[in-house]
Amino acid sequence: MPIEVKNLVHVYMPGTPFEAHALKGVSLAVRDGEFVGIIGHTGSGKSTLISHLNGLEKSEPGAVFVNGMDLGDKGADLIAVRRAVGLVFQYPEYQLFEETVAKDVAFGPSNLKLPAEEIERRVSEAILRVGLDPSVSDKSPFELSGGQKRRVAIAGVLAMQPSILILDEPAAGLDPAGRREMLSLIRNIHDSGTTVVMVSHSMDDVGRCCDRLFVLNRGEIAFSGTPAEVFLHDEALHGMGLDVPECAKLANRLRREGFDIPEGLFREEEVCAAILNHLGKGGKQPC
Amino acid sequence: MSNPIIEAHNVCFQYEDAAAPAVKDVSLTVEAGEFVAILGRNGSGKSTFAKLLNALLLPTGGTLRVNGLEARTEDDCYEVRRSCGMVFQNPDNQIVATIVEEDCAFGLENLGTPPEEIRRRVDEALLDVGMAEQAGASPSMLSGGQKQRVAVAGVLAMRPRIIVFDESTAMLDPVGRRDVFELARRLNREEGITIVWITHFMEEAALADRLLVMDRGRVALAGAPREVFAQVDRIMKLGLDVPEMMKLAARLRRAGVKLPEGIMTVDEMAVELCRLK
Repeated sequence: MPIEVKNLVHVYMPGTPFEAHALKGVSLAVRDGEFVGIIGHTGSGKSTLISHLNGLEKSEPGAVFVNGMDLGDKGADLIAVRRAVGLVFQYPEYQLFEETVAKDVAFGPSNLKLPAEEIERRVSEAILRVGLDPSVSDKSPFELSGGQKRRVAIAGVLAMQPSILILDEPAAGLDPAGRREMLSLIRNIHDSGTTVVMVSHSMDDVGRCCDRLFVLNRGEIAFSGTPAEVFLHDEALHGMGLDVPECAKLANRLRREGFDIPEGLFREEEVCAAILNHLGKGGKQPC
Repeated sequence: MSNPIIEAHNVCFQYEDAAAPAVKDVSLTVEAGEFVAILGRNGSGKSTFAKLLNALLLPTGGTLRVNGLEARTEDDCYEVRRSCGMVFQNPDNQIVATIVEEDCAFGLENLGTPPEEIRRRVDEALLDVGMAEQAGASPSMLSGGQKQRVAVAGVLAMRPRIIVFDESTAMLDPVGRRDVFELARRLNREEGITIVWITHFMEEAALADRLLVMDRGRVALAGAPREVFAQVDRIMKLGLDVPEMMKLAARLRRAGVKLPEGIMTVDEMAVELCRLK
């Protein structure tokens, strides 16, 4: 099991007036090769949770396991954990600092003290994997557009060849086309065998990409399951400051109005087919 | 009666060293009290246009009158900025003070406003945006949405006639996003402040009085949101998106369901479908 979290608790500034219980006993498991989404509004504990997953926050023994290793164990090899778990922060383009794209992407692997040819190989491979043209390698990352910069930052993480990739709001701030491209890039990374955990506010995005979702609310897991299962709870999610995709909302609403629409539909084409079916136009034309 | 507050005639702007202008021949009018949304891909010229409205940049061609004034000298620029406030994308980049009310007073202090007047206006502005209780708090303890509301209060204290929001909800979670958007709508409806709302979120743009779509420095589409979004293929080609329900409506129509034009929301769609049931 790549990631296993058991009853994880995290308190910020304990014993002060600012004491805040960010995580109140969270348990979850991510299976090999899965694409998992973590959703929750600001302050729900998402960021605290993912910081635990690569050892940025210290956990108690027995709470967080990565590839079977207990991160709370005194002897835990956190360097190995950080190699296995690549973490892409929110707005990662703000972390770019090198003179050229190639040097920036090479920063991580260089710290691993790999041979020069190996570093070079990983850098050019990572740049290709994020869909950038190799010609950008010698450019300053600061000359690139926002979306390209974000790709460079992700390439820097991929060059470490993590087996698990965690992304915090990877599509935030991008325009709709940029968003679609970013999500298809992450899907490609997943399809090539990487386990992916994506943190997001957007139910549309997680619905489109993820096998399974965990909804965090006030430091606890409120719902988990496939997107279809989670989106059934549209009213409860709304109360947590989250929205379900519009089509899921419509499907749930029509079902309550007496339409014969099966539960768990949220994709536009599925909902369209179900509506046509109900209206007796199902066989007329493919949706 | 027409009462234009923003008048742009063939406005152009080219950054130094840039190969092409960022804003090209933009001509448009915004009426006082309107809520206008601007959509467009990154790099389409939206933010450059916003900065022109606020005289942070001056046009390199054409004429732009904001609240009746064309910014030609530095003094004009200050006058334009007083009538046209701006709220930026990143809440952390526009907060300058360590206490909420001091941040809110920053603009007025720079104008040399008398202290009693500052006090009065700051209190009013913070109350208006629902942040009066946090007046003495440190901005670092606030959420993103709250920080944006403080930024709005700082602008309101200047008593502007126009507020430009440049992707002010992009970095917020859904709750913060709704709060800031609703605040802008209320300021528009109740206080008659003209709003220019730049965004990537189609569901926000759908609620504007009028929608402008920018592409490569030009205004590519303009009109009521329903009319603009009805051009689904064109919008998608411009790298944008249309509200989900418009896409679903188009799909249902193709399959022979008779639906009226202009369905944008789940409510509207549900009502129409129930009528067919």
